[in-house]
Amino acid sequence: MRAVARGDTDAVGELYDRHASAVYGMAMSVLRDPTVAQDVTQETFVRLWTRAQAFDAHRGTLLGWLLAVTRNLALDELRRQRRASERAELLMREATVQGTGDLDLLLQRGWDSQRVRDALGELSTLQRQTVELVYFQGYTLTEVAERLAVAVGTVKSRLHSALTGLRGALSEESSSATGPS
Amino acid sequence: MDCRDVAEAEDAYVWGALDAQQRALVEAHRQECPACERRLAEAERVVSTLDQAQPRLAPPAELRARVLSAIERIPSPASARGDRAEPLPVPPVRVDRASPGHRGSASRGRPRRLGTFASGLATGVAASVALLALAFVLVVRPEALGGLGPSRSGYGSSGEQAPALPPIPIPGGQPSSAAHLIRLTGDGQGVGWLAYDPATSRGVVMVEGQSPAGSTEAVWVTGDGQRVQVGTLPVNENGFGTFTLPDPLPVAHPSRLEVVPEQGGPPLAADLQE
Repeated sequence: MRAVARGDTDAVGELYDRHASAVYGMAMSVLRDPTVAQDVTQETFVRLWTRAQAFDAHRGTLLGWLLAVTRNLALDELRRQRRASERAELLMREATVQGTGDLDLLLQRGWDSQRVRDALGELSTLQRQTVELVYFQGYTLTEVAERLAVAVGTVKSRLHSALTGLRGALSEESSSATGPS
Repeated sequence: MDCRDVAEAEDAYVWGALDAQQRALVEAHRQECPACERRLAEAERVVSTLDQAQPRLAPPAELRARVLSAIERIPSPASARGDRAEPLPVPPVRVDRASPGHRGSASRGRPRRLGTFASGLATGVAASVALLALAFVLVVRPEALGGLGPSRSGYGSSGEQAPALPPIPIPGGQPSSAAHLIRLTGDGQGVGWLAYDPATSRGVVMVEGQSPAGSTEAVWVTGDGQRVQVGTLPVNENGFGTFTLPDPLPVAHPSRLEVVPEQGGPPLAADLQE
């Protein structure tokens, strides 16, 4: 990253080789459109180039930073598409099959980590649904509440439970992995 | 927003479910409160495990060349600042009385204080990152927009106003801006473009082939009866230069922008729409 910050384009190439599949995977995961996902991938690496000085290794890994940038860019685009085409309304209808559907359409993400699969398995379907709509579809509290016909407080509560559950599952796994065998 | 409010909003914040206004309030608080910053950072680390668990997917091979080509055309911040740890210079402000033909809509005065010019510069620079990236795509590789907006082909003649673009997210700004891409025209060999948001008067100027490498060009804006030099555009070794308009502009109702070679030669210019 220091080389990128100094203006070394070769260093960007090396970081692209290392992280492009994760960045493009994230963009595709949110957008499901190869053309737009490529644009988002390009913009992510442009931001790496123009904002390398702002990266702080003490606050997280470079990959974590790249993926957060990618997800935010992808969500911006998704929201724009949503406004333009009502595409989200269709998604939401799929997501709200009167509360009985198990939302497999939305929830069957190809998680690349058994650790996260296990952690998510600890969450209820409603918690996972809420996380999906907020984190990977870019809806706000109010929008989720309106579309799921629940109170804003209910959405908040599900997000709180999801965070607590995820934290607990990850921490249990971490302690069992590092504890005495 | 105090610590209690932040704690209340914490879950929605880290999952990204707050609206822009609430999010900005939390971010302002966490910058000044180490305890909340630590707590939010820990929660963000938990949530970000979902990011890192997304499946990897190899992008098309040609994307690598496209990305690197895009980057090579954007001056790195390091080269732009010459690796000097100095504050950004405030461009000189020169004020001319505009000719009557440049008075624009003076009667609808929306005075802006010159005193805010310097403080607005930093905001303008930050906003320029997003605008510059957009402008680059529009000028150098307009087809890259693909599904991100309507086709840009077929415009660009003298002073022609491009169709309105979709909203551009500007860091730290409200997500309400709509930019226009305006071609600068003149009698010389150079070409120029302005990516411009008439709602906020933010914009980025790009000029190529107008002046010799290493020279400078003065950027002037006319509005409400004043013609003001808002800064100086440096021309790099490839004859290419960019300049971010100060935010706010030191004139109300900007109606015309000119880029004038300081070593002489015909200017590039365009009329601005509000």
